[in-house]
Order: sequence, then C-alpha cells, then structure tokens
Amino acid sequence: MNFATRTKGTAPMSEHFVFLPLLIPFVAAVALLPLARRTRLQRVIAASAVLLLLLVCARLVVALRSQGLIVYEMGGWPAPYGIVFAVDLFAALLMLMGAITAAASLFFAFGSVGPQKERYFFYPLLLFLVAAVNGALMTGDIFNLYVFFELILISSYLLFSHGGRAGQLKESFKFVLLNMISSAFLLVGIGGLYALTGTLNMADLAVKVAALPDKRIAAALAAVFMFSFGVKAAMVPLFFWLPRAYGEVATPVAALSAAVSTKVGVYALYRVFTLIFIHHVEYTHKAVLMALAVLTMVIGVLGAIAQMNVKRLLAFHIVSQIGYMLFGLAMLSVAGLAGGIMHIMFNMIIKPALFLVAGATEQVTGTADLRKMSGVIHRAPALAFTFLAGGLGLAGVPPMSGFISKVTLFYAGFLGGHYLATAVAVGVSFLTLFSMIKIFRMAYWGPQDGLPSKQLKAARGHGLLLAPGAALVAAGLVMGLGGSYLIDYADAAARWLMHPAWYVAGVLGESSAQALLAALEVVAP
Amino acid sequence: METIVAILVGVLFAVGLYMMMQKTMLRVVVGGNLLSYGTFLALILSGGLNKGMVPVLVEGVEEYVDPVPQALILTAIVIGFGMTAFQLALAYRTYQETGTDDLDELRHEDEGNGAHE
Repeated sequence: MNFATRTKGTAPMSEHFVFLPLLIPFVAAVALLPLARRTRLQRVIAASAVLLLLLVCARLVVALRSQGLIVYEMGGWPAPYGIVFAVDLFAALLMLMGAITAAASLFFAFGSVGPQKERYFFYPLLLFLVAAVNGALMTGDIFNLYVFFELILISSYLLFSHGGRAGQLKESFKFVLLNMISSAFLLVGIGGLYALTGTLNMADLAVKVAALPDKRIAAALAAVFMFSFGVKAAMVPLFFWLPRAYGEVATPVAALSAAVSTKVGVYALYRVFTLIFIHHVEYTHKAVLMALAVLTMVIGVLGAIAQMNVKRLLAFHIVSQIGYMLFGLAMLSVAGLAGGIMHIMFNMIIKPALFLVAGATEQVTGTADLRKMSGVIHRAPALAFTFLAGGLGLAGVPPMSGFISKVTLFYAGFLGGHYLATAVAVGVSFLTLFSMIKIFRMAYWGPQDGLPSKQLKAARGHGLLLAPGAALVAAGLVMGLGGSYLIDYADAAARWLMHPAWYVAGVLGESSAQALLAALEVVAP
Repeated sequence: METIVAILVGVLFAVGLYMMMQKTMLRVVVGGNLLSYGTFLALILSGGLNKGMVPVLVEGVEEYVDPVPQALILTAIVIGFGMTAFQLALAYRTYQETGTDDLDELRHEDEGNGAHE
C-alpha cells in the first residue's frame, strides 16, 4: 500500500500551525491571571482568544480534510523517542466543535456569572479547560494524554466548585474522588503498557502490541483503560458523579463541560480502541462495549425521565447520548464510526445549547424545578421555541443533524447485524423525545400563573442570554441541512480510525506501518 | 524484589480504597493519597527494578535503570500533590460551609431540602 497517495491537496499545512489550538487559549488564560480586577478587559481578551481559536480550528479541519494527519514533533525529536502531537481529522472536528461551544458558553457567561465570580479567575479557568481539552485531543503520547486529562480535571474541579455553595462543594468532592480513582487506574494501565512494550507513543504502541505473541495481558489492560476512560466519559455503570454535579454548577460551566469534558473520555476510548486494542474485537467491542453502550443509552434516558430538575434531566441525557457514541465505536465499522463521530459533533453543539437555553429559562423563572415553572412561553416565546427546536434536535427529529447521525448509526447497526442494539437505540430516541416534550409541556406550556411575580422584570433581560443558545441551535440546524458535507467529513475521519496503519505511517513512517499490517494479518486472517 | 514491591502496591491500593470508604472527608483524602502512592510504585515496576544501578543513558554505561518511569513518576507526583492540596482545600471549605465533615450527614442534608428526586 502506498501511504503517500492520501496526501493530496496543494500546500501541506505547516506543522507549527497545529500547535495553535493549544497555545491560544493557554496564553490567553495566563495573560488573564494578573488582570483579575479588570473584568471588562478580561472579557475582551477571552472573547478574542476564543474567536481566534475558532478560526484556527476551522482552518485546521479544512487542511486535515486533504492532508489526513499532521504530526508535530516537540523539539524536533522524532516519534518513538520524542513527544509528538498527532492531529487527525477526528480530533480536529472535535476541536472545532469545542471552540464553537466555548465561544457560546463564554458569551453566556458575560451575561450571567456576575462580577464576583469574574474577579475570581472564572475566564482563565474556562480557557485553561479549553486548552487542556485541545491538548488531550492532539497528543500522540499516552502519558501526555494522562497529563492533559489531569489538566482538564483540575480546571473542571475549580470551575465546578467555583462560587463555593455547600451543594456545589459536596458534589465537587465526589467528582474529585471518582476521577482520582479513575486517574490512578489510568496510570496503572499506562505503566502496564510500558512494561509490556517499552514505549508510550500511541502509534508505536499500536505496532508493538500487534507484534506481541501473547495478547492476554494487553486485553486485561484494555479493561483497565475502558474503566478509566469510562468514568471520564460517564459510561454506565460509572456515571453517578455526573448528573448531580452538573445540576449544581453555573450554567456556562455545565454547558462547556457537557460539551467537552465527557467527550474527551469518549475520544480517548475511540482512540485506544481503534488503534491499540484491536485484537480481541469480538470480545472487547462486539460484546463488552456493545453491552455497555446499550445499557448507557437505556439507563441514561430512564434517569432523565425520572428527573424534575431541568439541569439534572439534561445531565442524564448526556449519559444517554454517550451510549450512542459508544454504540458507534462498538460496531467498529466505517459507517458505525462515522455515525458515532457525527453524533459526538452534534452533541457538542446541541447539548450546551440546551443547557444555555435552560439556564436562560432559569433566570426568567428563578427556579430549575419543573414543578414550579409554567407558562414561560407567554413571557418569552423565543426562549420556548429555541428550547423546542433544540430538544427535538436532540431526540433526532429532522432537519437537525441529530437525525442524520442517528440514521447513520441505525443504518450501520443493521448493516453490521446488531439488530437488538439498534432496536434499543431507536426506542431510546422515542424516550428522549418524550422527556424533551415533558420539559416543554411543564416549563414552557400551560398557564402563566406558575411564575412568581418578582421574576417579571428579569424576564425582560433574557434576550442577551438567549442569543448564545439560539446560535448553537442554529448551528445544529445548519449541520443538519448541510448533512451531506458533514457525512463527508465524518466518513473521512472514520476511515482514518479504521486504518490504524495510516496513523502509524504518519507518525513513525512507512516501515512501521508495514510492520503493523503484517502483524495484524497474522492476528486476523 | 519485584514481588515485594508488587505486594506493597496491592497493600497500598487496599488500604487506600478502604480509607476512601470512610465517612470522614480527611480520611477519604488520605485514602486517595495512598492510592496514588500505590500507582507510583506500580509505575516504578513497569520499567523493571535493577538494584543499585543508575538511571542514565550515556555511552559506555552497560547496566542502567530505565529512566522513563522515573520521569513519569515525577510528573505524576507533582500532579498528585496539586490534587491533594486542592482536595484538602475543598474538604476544608465544605466543612466551613456545612459545619460537618461527615459524608453521611452531608447526604442527609441534601435529602432534607428536597433536592433529591
């Protein structure tokens, strides 16, 4: 196979450009630290950094569509010895969606967090979170993945406990503990892989693990990684920290975390289970991951139906949607992965949109409890219809892009013969629709008398808060209408994931890729 | 030597997890710490133990200890210290806000104000 043929396009992008998605938010965050008292200046810098990041990520996606993979060698050291950043289309797409969400969350934060929090490093923390997420998406070194995970976590911990209400602190404590255990297991897994292969570079790991004569220890390590990333991705049965923690935090934090933090866990699962642990597919993917995916879908949506707090309800939907993404991975086919990637992308847009609109509604009604709110549609019709559009999109009603990603997943499921799992996925979609209608009926529909009169004035100022959420819903709509382009990109990204040898060739060179192919041939006849 | 350290890793994990299941926040934090020490030792093992050798790679040196795990542990220890400091601060703030560091009581408080659904 000739690996060079995939690199078409005119001018390959400079490898230094790849570093910008990490550098921009990081430098901006550091620059904000001494400006704690000057909130207006903080806003200007943070907003310009995020918008710049958006442009860079968009450019990166376009470049990677033709270039496939960009490898950045730190300090010029070549791959197995030095630390490399290897960005493929999948990572770039997630970075772009993350940047869009970060921009929306930031603009929502301008109108909602208040000067008290702004002075206590709210914006720098938000930017550190974005930088850490981008780092985790870009890195080609499994230990650096751990480091960036810790950076994501420490930013999240601070953002989750920011403000210091008792409920927040309590939920943060649980969140910290669970993630500490998962990080400890991640380290043990990395240590095990290093003991087994003597390398930390993911491409090199792929080659070396494939060449192992006995892969049973690697399979055991796969379970360790599945546990660790599963906690971070909020996969059933490891999701208990999520709904309560997200129910407590400030809206922009919940929105951004919902979009990026759990998705990085999913990304890590996608990465290691398409690159390194691909030797016991019948067991790891088709049995374990598939079962966990189905359980995650069902338990997440059932949890959502039982909730009466809007934020917690939406948080349970994160869990349920993670199930769809894992379903795509569990199929391990181009169609399945493409559907999964599209679902991740769409969720990174629509989930924060719903959180932001729900947050704006909370400002109007003064409560997040569904039983206490009613008739918002009379006071703020735009808010109500934005929520309805977003909610229907999440459930997979066309023309939102959730429809396209779900149909792709169902199609891949039938094609792969996973009839039961696909049927469950279809059923869960209806339950999602049901719970969205429930929010709409209880919060927005009905008589107006549920609203406390002191909230009447607050209702006037919700326009600014609505705008970021509405922009995200509109972005979801655009993604749905431009579905054929979206499928094109997701399909290209999925093809890269399905051909680990391409990734290896980009990072380590062609001879290593041939070695991987030879080893894989031995394993899978 | 490897066997002894491996057993030690297991002991640290067991003690750490046991401590994490206690009711007092401070004990939970200490348990988390012991758990991370267990992982550091496990990382040391990943490079193989070579007693009395130095972790250097220069020309002429034939016998050495793999330096990579040591670099990894250094990073992990720094991160672990940061996390512990944060956890202690968080536990202390929670104690200040709620007046208790008993995790059971914290849960009851939550159910009392109707937030549980």
